[in-house]
Amino acid sequence: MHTVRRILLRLLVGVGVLWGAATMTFLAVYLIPGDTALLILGGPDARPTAETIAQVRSDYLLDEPFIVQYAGYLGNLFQGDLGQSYRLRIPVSEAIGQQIGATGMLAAAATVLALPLTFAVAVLSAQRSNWVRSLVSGVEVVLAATPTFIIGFALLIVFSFTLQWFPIGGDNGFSALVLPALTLALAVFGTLSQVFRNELEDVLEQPFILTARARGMRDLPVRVLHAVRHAAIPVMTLSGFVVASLLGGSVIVETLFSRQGIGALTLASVYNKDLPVIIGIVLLCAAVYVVVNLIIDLLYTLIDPKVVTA
Amino acid sequence: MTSTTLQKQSKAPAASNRTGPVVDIQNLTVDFGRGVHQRRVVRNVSLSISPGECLALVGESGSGKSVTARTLVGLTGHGAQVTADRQTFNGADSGGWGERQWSKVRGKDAGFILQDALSSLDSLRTIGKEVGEVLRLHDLFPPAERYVRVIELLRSVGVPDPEVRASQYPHQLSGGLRQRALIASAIAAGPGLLIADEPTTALDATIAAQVLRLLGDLKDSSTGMLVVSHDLAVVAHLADRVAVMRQGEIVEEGTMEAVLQDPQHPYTKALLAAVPSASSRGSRLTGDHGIAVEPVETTAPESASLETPAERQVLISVDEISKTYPNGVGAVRTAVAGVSFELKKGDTLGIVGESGSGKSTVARIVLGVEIPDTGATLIGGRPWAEHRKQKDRRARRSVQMIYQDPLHSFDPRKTVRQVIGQAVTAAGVPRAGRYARIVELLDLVGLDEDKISSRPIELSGGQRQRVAIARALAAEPEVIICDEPVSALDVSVQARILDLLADLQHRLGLSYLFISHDLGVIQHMSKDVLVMKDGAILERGPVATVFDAPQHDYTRQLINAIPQLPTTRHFPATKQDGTRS
Repeated sequence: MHTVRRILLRLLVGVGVLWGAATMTFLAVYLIPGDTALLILGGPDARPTAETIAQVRSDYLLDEPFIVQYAGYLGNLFQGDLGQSYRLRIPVSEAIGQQIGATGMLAAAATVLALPLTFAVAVLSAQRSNWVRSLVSGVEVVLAATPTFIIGFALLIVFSFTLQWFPIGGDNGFSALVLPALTLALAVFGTLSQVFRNELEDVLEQPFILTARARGMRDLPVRVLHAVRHAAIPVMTLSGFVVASLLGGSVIVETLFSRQGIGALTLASVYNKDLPVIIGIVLLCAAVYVVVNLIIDLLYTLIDPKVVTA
Repeated sequence: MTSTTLQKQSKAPAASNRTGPVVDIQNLTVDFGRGVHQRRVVRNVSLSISPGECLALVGESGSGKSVTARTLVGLTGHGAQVTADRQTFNGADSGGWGERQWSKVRGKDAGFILQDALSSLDSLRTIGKEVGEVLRLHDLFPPAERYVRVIELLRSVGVPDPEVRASQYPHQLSGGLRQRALIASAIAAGPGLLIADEPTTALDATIAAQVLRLLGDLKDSSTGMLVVSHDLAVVAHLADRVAVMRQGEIVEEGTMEAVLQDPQHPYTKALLAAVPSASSRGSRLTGDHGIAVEPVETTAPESASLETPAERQVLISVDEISKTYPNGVGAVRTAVAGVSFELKKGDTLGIVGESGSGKSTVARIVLGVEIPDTGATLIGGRPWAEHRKQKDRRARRSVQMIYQDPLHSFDPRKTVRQVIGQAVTAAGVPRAGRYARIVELLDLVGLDEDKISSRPIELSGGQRQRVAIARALAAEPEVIICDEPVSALDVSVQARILDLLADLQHRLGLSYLFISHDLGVIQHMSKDVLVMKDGAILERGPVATVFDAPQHDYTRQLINAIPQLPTTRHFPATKQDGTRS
């Protein structure tokens, strides 16, 4: 019952976040100098006639007061109408829909690589001798600090140019997905693993770990069966960071590996001042963020019994 | 873990050898760290425990008692170097055992009980799963029967409704039930050795007494038991033999009776003398303090003999205060219900009660950081509300507080100078005089000037508490509220802090509101006492009256729960060598 109330409350907050994001982007667009009608018609180079501009202004409510424009915008959003892309001349939802699969696949593949890697490295290296920890931690710091495109380049040089195991880019099948996913995964892993190991080391000092070992449990089972759940709770709060890394990283990775996807769409839309698409992508990111946080929140209640009863 | 006797051929022990000792170690030495960081925490310790025997290992923190106990089951900790001339477990040479051999023995042949079951049980797993883990790890019962066995175990250690409790999580159980569940998990496999490390330290007195009785019931002819404690009185009735440890060595060993009646080593004598009680009232607990004092009647305020109590100034008057908190599900929890008392100049009023009795809330209301729902607190004859309205800093300064754990009441980044300096500044001392005032305060609490640039973490528990007292004194208060000021301290350090508080009262004419769960401390320190339970005062009066002729059942229970040394004799304080708090 408490859980249901929590979910409803969370959803309500999520709607608020989305509304906030929509309002902010609307304000940003409203305040950008320049004639929106001209932009819609393809910029000054398109040399539209005065009548077409006037036509567009009235179609897009551009002559109405701010509050009417805002209400119209929210009303459209509410009906799922994000408007039409200036550049592609198709509805924004369609433009995003065409690209979301590729990016979703990339992000999922990166997550599938990053989480087990983080888990294994952190569990095996926590509380080990100093040189092991220094080595592992050194690698993690380098990965966390290196810009994504440099990691991508390095992987390309080793695995595509030198070893020629994987193609240098494109969207063709599984082998083209490996390097981009690995690039994204390594960037996430560096930070996540550092935090996870620190948490594990704190947990492994707790008396209940000693109790478990005093019952005859071996070292690795103690880590996996007792310590991991405790260490995972604070690490899960980093999910926001993970989502941001995956979304932000996809812009770079999709460009670097010349892949299709939301990242590539974002970049093209920004270059062409394709505002409806940019707004759509911002709202999409906000929605992803809200949903991920809701899932994490539910995971908390699954992992930690105190969250429900408290 | 390494050892000089690396005998890999010794496999897991044969079926337990009931004739010889369960464990036998000779000249055990444990070092942590290497090179310049090497610290020897246990040196040349020899002990053996036979089936049916209970050995107590008694010592203060840092004495190496817990490390010794853990080494018996190969859990010394990482980075430890263990050497011993002989180390056997159930007759088998365990000196060179690795993780594999030990893991077969732990839980099955040796059970381990730690203090504070809240952190010693996995908070994310149910009680039943925790207790059943031993059976699962050692494959003891068919999986289908394990649940039944877990329920039986929980029932046998006195957990009511074991079926319900088995499906609950540690935080849903009371401290006493948790400790029982932890004991159930330790005895689940019927081990021949039971090690209990401070099994009652985190518990309220009445609960601790029950757990001690349970441990006593677990003693039988085939089980060897090792009880580790900082408190001789706790283990006095449980153990057959006692070994007193200090700085990694056993300084005295013998039957419990012999050691209690006729301690040989000065340290044992000092330990026994340092225990505060009714009979130690008015005398010093330690013999080596720098301040020269009269041998008796140090706590009796001079003014008492000069004026009648009625004439002395009432500093704090608490009138029918009540406080409730919302409990999260719509209802309220009553923390304090209609409490009234007065504190006069130079007096010590003790408040005794178990956790949740409302004593700390009373302290916070008197301190003025919590506002009661009803009733009033008068400081110097005027209610807090008035002082607050007029932003009267003098009233705020006249009541100060000392907490149980000064480590957490100090900003860890600040030095002693900054900690006390802040209080000195708040007291309105001009900049030029501040340093001298800080040094003066440090001297007052028996700390040298060279501690002035230390940070809290660099000080010992006793030194930290001295700094906390100095900080409280900086405001030149009339009243100091002491909330469990010595509960986190070793008995010898506790003795020094209690002596210091008594000295300060004598010299500065302070009044104390002294809160403790420890009746011995209360009896030693206070003139009058309030017994609190569930937010209300059950009984009040002069200490001697309340404790000698308790009117209320609960008070009687509390008194019966005090672990008593078999002798009532108060050991005179003797000179101690070394360990300064």
